[in-house]
Amino acid sequence: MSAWNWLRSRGTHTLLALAAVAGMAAADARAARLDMEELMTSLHGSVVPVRITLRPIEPPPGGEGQKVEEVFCGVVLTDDGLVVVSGDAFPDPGGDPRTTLEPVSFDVLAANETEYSLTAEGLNRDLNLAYLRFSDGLPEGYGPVQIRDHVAPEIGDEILVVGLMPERYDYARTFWPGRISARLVSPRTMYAVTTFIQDLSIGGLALDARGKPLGLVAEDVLPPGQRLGRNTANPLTLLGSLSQGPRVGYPMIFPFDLLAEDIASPPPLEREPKKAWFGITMQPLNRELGDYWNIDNPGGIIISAVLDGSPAQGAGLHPRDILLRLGESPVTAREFTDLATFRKRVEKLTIGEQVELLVWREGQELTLQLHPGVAPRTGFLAREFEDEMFGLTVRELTVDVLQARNLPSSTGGVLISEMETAGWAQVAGLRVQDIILRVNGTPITDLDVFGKFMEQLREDQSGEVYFFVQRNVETRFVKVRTDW
Amino acid sequence: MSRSSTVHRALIALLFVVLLGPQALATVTSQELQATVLAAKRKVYPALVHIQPVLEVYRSGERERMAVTGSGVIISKEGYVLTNNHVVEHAERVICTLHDQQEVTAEIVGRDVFTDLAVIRLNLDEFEGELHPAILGSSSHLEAGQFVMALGSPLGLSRSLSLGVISTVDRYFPESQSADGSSTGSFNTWIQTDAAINPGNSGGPLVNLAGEVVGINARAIPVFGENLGFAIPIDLAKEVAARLIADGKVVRSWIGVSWQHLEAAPGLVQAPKGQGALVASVVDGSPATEIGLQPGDVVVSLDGKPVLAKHEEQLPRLRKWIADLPVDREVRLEFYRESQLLEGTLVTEQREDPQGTELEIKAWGFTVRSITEEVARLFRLEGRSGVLVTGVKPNSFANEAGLRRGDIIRRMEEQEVPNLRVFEQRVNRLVEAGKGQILVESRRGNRLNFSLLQPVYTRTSAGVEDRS
Repeated sequence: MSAWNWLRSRGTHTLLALAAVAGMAAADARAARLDMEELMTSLHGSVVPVRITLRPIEPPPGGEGQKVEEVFCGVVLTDDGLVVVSGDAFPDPGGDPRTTLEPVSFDVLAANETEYSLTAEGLNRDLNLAYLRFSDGLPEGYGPVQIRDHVAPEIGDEILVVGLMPERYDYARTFWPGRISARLVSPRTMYAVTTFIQDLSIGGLALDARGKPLGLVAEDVLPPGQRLGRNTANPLTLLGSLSQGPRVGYPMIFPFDLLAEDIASPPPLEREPKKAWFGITMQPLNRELGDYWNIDNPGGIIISAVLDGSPAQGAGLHPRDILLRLGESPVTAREFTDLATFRKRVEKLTIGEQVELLVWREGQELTLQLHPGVAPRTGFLAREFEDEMFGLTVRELTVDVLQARNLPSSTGGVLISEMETAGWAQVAGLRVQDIILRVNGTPITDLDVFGKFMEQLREDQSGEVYFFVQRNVETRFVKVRTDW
Repeated sequence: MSRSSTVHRALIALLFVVLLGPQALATVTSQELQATVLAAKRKVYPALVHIQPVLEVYRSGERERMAVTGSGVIISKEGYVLTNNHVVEHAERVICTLHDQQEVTAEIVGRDVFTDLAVIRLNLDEFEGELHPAILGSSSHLEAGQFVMALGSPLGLSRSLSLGVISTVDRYFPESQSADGSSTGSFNTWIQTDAAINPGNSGGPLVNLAGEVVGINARAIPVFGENLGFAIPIDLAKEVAARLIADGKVVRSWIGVSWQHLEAAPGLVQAPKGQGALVASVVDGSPATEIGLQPGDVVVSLDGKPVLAKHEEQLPRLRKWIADLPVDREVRLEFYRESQLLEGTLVTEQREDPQGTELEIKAWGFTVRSITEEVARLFRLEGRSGVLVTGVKPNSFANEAGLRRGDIIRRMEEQEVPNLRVFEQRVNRLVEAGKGQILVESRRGNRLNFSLLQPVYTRTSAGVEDRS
């Protein structure tokens, strides 16, 4: 189903909103005189400021860590509240969880300090776009943009880029005129523009001269390590620096066709392309260590840990082993930054398909056969459960969190990831980073059990609830007083 | 006139001054209060000691000397002085100034990390005259509102006296654990007073109007509040001092349980009303695991005697009860698990010195400490082999090699490091041999880390030294 047909099937509200958008193209098309006042008003509920709150994936013990808030420009895509924003706030996997920030909450900022909460739905890493949805449906005054298929602007066409003014100006909707300057086909069909692009127009809307949507203002993000050329028009260092290191890219217009599949069914955060995984942690083999061990190889990687139950353990890999070859090609990592290259190589392997490893162990070379597994979810993709009454958000325990805390892989429970100031949970003395093991004596084995139990508590309206938590190396009970 | 009636009248006088204002007829009786304070001060003043230890501390990978000040009180004619552990721990030597300005050195007799108390002994051959030990009172019948004086050397200002009242007699603080795994305050609640207590008052006496020592000043909260001073009750101090004088240390028993008061999780078990203490955490492999004790159990009796910990202020007494049991003694516990009453007999173990020994590896630029039980637990180590890196000096060879604080060195030059003693011997041998490349394998969190130290040695007349 095309996006257009899909949209048409969505009922009168959408159609009315579309009528409003369409109506802005003034009746006299030949005069091409657009009522800009009316156009900008009609887009007010479609091009919206989205505040994203970020925190370190792994906050320092006993704290929540530094909190960062950034506002992005978002576009409402559907009348059931789907919003697209730049994916810059979502970190690439594999960073240091102590210094990598990840988004924890999303809100659309409206007038009079009203906020509407959004939930993360999906992430398309290739397009660097994130999909969010209004948690309680689309509020009044908000409506989707008209999504047009198969638009084919030509080089030289006049366009308008609609974005937001900064906070100081209450995120007033604004536009910049420009022209299509190039039509690109690789790595995807998209259009370069001669328009002033700033942070708050990334994620905004591109319109044709008649005010009809052409597509999304997005960025073509360069692979890590690549830099923008000198004298680049509109070079952007994007907000990627929020999460980990700067991402750089060129501003582009993405026609809606690129998003059609995502809009029909947003790629769930979990439904990342499945990545292959060994289950090891590594240290680069620098020249000095290589010489010390007399390893006659251009380089290698020291295995510093092998996870319980991982494919690497199955293959007989040990900590202290030095990996020399993966398949046919040598493995080299002199610096910690080189490990990312190797990680990428592993991720691209075929899951389940045997690879041969050449390993140096105590002076001997040996060959091991490994069947890569599927990378488990990490903390950043972990599912969360928020209990507004108790004022706490918990997250499923993921392998990276267990590993960072040196907990056995069999550890059950849920991790407190956020707490409302002066909420029941915080007043009682629960802390962010506590692992909830039991509530009122019921073992909390996973997020679903926790969710169900909290639901039950709400029905029972218990006056006192006690949590049994793991805090650092000790366990303890915390009594939470409720006030339903 | 008896002492107590003097105190009584002085207090009434003070009350009059407060209620009626300075013009009231209280002039005479406030003089009596003055007289009482002075009399009390005169009794304890000759026992006051200004302590200046020279500490040896390990910081940023180096051993450093540091001069600090603290306070103490003479408790016997033999020259024993009671003070805080934190005043004299790490002391290389201790210089004491007595009330008549005589300077006398002192030896450390014994220290107790858990109660933050220590006893030192004055070298009496350096001293002329007669010692006047303080009268140690009792802390068991203190009452909030009672007048007290704090004596000592706040911020190094020796022979200072401040006056106030007891604000509360049983302030509870959760055990505070320091970086080296030691914790203080497990076995006592604190006397809180508004008599000014500042850093340097530590170890000095808190005295009642009869001139008797009722507490040892130990803590202040100078940043967030004013007039919040805390003293260790003298009854505990007397007991610890006696054991330190007799044995040089306080031996305690341990069963491996952290406790919480019942109110932390009410209704968890069907124990008799108000009786029992909640098991919050059980250390793996400890005596408590032998009888299968679990978090959530409520222990209602020890050797048939009831355990009472409804409120958290009661926890120190329970911890002390267990700590005071003889080591290797059988103890019968009765405990509830849900509605079931269970029992078991365990054998106490000796609680280990939590601090361990520290060592500076000067030639390579870092400091290490032995792996104590506490360290092993905090780092979730299996076994206790290795040494803990406690500091890495900036710009040192160790720093260049990427060694970090918190690393547990498990192997060096491909050989296991079983303990600190062996590590020290091996380091000395490698340094003497002028070894230019040393492979250090440590456990960093949950993974291994390899660091290759590449020291350059310069020869001096004193032997091998690190680069200057």
